[in-house]
Amino acid sequence: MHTPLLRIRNLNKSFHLHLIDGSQIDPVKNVNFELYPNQHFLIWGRSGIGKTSILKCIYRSYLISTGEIWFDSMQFGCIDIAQAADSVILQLREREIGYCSQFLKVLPRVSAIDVISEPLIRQGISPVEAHEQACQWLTLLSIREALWHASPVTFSGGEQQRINLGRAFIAAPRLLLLDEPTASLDANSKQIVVDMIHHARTNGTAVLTVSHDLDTLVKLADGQLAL
Amino acid sequence: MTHLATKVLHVEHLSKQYGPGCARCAEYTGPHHHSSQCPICGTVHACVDANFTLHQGEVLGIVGESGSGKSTLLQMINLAIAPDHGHIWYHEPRDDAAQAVDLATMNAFAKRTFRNDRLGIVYQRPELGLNMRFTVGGNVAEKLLLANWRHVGNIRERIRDLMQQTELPPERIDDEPHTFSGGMLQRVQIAKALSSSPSLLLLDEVTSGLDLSVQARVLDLIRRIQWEHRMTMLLVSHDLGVIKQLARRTIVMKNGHIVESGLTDQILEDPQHPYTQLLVSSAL
Amino acid sequence: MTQTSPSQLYNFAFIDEDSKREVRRMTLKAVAIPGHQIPFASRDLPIARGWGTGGLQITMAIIQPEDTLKVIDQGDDESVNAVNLRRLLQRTAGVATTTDTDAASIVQTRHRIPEEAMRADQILVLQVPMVDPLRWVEPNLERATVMHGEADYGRMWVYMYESVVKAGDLRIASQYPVMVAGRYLMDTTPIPRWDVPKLHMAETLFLFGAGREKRIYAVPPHTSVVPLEFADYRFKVEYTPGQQCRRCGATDTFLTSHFVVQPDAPNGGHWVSSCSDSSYCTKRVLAQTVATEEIS
Repeated sequence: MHTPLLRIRNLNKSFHLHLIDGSQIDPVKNVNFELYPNQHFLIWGRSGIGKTSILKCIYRSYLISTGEIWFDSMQFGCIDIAQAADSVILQLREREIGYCSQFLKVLPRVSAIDVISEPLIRQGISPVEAHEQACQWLTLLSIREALWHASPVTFSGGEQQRINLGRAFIAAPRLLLLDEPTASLDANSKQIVVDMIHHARTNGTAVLTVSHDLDTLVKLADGQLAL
Repeated sequence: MTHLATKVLHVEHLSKQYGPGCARCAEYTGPHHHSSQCPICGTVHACVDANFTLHQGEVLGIVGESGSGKSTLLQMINLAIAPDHGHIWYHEPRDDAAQAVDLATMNAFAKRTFRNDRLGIVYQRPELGLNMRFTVGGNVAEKLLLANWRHVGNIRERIRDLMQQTELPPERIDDEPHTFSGGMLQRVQIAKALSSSPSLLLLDEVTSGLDLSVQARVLDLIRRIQWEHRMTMLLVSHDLGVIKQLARRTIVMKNGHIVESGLTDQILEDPQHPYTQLLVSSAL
Repeated sequence: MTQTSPSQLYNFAFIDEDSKREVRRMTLKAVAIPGHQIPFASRDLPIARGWGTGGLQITMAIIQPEDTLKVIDQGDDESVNAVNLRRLLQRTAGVATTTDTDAASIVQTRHRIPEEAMRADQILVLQVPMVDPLRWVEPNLERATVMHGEADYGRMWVYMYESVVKAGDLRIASQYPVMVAGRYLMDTTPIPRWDVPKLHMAETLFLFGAGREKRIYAVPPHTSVVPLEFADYRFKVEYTPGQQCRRCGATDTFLTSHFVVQPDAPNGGHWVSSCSDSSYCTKRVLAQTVATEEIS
């Protein structure tokens, strides 16, 4: 039996809104699940139910209230992300954990090709080769060549989403967190996403997807959690 | 198993106050009060018990409003203000075998040499970082001359190289600063800061007060330099947008205290401290 | 002029004993820290500030009845200022005076160092108008003092760089900045560049007094005095190939020029160069006259 890549134990997240007299919101209550290498795991449920919050807790954009998030890291061994130091998280994000969200804003004034090639250059791949691979992905994602040197900040929602996907998948991290990957996409693009997830999975990336688009993604899921 | 990137700076219990202090100071000052000045004895607690670590290649943002102590903290690391308590441990990134040195305990000579050699600083107002009576080239040359460069030809070659790196026209090397625009003067400061190939770059509100398009250009330049040189940076700003673009980790200061520290996206998306929540909600 | 009895109306060498003690103590400090500016309580004198009161106070404090004094101004023993200072000391100290550098035990000077190399048993006292070499780059005295204290001379080097860049070469004519004993930046006072090398590893003691600025500094014997320069722009003394003194024919002295009026000449006259060190020039002329007489 393989070691799980990700093990979520009794995850709870509450927000304390000091500006509204300290009122509390609890988007995540007692979540438990496991994700194995090369698996595609789907968390689904209606909008607002806290699916994105789970991803953000794993990526450490949110600090959890109670629980454990065990990750089997290549760099640090088996660690609890919830307790890990900031510098550790930064290195995990650089090498092992990727994140893609429809709301992820790219840096302004950076061209699409640079946005997508950056994770590769960070890994030490030469800029020339990184750009070549980025071009392949841009083609795969049906981004018109005329836009390659433009900044995605000016693109449509769907195009931005595809750039985000390209940037997340190109680095082939061990764990990829996808937040509503098919949002704003037409049927063709949705299919591309399905293919990308499938391809990533067979190449060593475990994918954790959060979506309310059950139809497209459920057939691809090795495991699922309904909220 | 990989180890973390090497630590460059480790700040421990760093404090600075202006005034004698009294028994009631702690009662009346701090992040839960409206000021860092004690109403009983008048002491200003500019920076209280600051602790943080900076790794090689990291950009740490320091965000806070006026009076937060962020500039005092920066100037203590710049060795321009002597702290009252605490340590500033420095690990030389170019030499793995080197022991950590407490910068706060160095004598004046050593501080000045260190500051010239290993640090670079860029200020919000160019007249703080530059001498307006010297030429642009003379300003960029100052750190080199302090480091005993004595060949004018070599110095000028290096200046032109730095000007090119910071997108300044090298043929304007002998022009006076007052003929340069605000954005260009920031780039001159950056060129000067980089001249000694420092291991740590300190940036104090470098884009505040600049026109928007100029601000964007200067920020992009800083980002490019960070990327190309894997430069370790301390970035002070009151603008969360600037912090978000450049800093992976951030500390939030109020009335001399660090109230929160963490990953920048976590600070912005899941602020814990009431003051941080207030700041984040106030972003335009 | 030979030793005489000093006037009974004045204290020996004019200033009172407490003032002499003050100047001597500060001078000792100055000698102990070569190139470092020592503040001193500068007294009022019967000449105006800016006319050499600093140098005069040092001379008054160190002079002894058996000393022989030479006073020059721009190298000349016979200028108004030199004559007046010499007369004052003659009257109040009764010391012997001379125009011969060789014969003097104390030489007080403004703007020149004598051509003849001075010995270990002699002292050269220089009059200083403006003391701090950093005044070009840091007008605030307090900050400049800190810069000296921390050997923080980077800005001075920028000033040197700027002078090369603006003028194509090091164009500092006088008050050339030098590093003394590798530690203090010093103003060499308005001596021409020609005289700066004489300060380096010399046999004699150099004392610098600034009365208006209230500072004393010193270069003791065998002290290194190195002018600021670049590897590709070196310190150079003033020299025009073919220069010659009209009086004595010397080609290796510092020359001054004066205008000779000739009503019928096209410009009303012409310029003549001669040795700035008048007594040295006269010595050479006399030696040539003797030599000529011996031959004939």
